[in-house]
Amino acid sequence: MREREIFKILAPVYPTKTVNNSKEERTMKNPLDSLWGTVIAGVVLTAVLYVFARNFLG
Amino acid sequence: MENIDLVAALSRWIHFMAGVMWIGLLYYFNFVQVAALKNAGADGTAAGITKHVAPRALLFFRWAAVVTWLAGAALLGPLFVDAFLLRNGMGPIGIGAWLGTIMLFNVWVLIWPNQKKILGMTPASDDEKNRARRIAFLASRTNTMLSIPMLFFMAGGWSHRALFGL
Repeated sequence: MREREIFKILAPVYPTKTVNNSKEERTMKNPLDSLWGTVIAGVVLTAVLYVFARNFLG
Repeated sequence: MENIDLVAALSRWIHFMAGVMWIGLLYYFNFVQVAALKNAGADGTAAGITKHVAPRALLFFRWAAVVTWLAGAALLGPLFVDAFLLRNGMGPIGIGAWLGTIMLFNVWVLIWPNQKKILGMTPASDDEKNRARRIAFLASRTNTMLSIPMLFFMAGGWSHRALFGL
C-alpha cells in the first residue's frame, strides 16, 4: 500500500515505459500517402537542395 | 552561331510544351484522378475513367516525358556534361536535370509497367494488381514531390544568378 503511494508520487518524474504492440501504433505513416504530405516533402527537399547548391556547388 | 541559337530556341520551346504536358498530366493524376477514382469506385462508375481516360492520359504522359528530356538535353547542348556533373556554374540547372532524369526513370520503369497491370493491358493476378497499384501510386507521388524542387531549379532562369550567388 505504502509502495503504491510512493509510485503515485514518483509517477510524473519516472514515467513507466509502456510497450504498445498494436499495429496501428507501430506503423509509421508515409507522407506520400497524402497530397499535403507530398507537397510539404517537396518543399523541404527544395530547401535542402537549395542549401546544398548554394554552399557546395561552384 | 545563328544555327546554334535556333536549335536552342526550338529546343526550349519544345521542352516547355512537352514539360507542361508531362507535369500537367502528373498533377492531374495526383490531384484529380486518384481522388476521383475513389469516389467513382463507390458508385460503380470507375470503368469510365480506367477504360477511356487513364490509358489516353498515360499515353501522352509517358511520351511527353521522353520528349521533355530529349529537348532538355538538346537545349543543354555542349553544356550537358557540365550540368550532370554539377560543375562550371551549371550546378543548379544540373540538379533540375538530375531530378527530371529520375522522374523519367520512374515513369518508364515503375509507373507505366505497373499501370499496364492495373488497367488489364498485361495479365496479372489480383495480388499482383494490388502490389502494382501501390508501386505505381508511390512512384507517381514521388514524382509529384520531385517536381517541386525540379521546377525550382529548372525555371529559375536568370534569377538563378542572384539565388545562388553566381
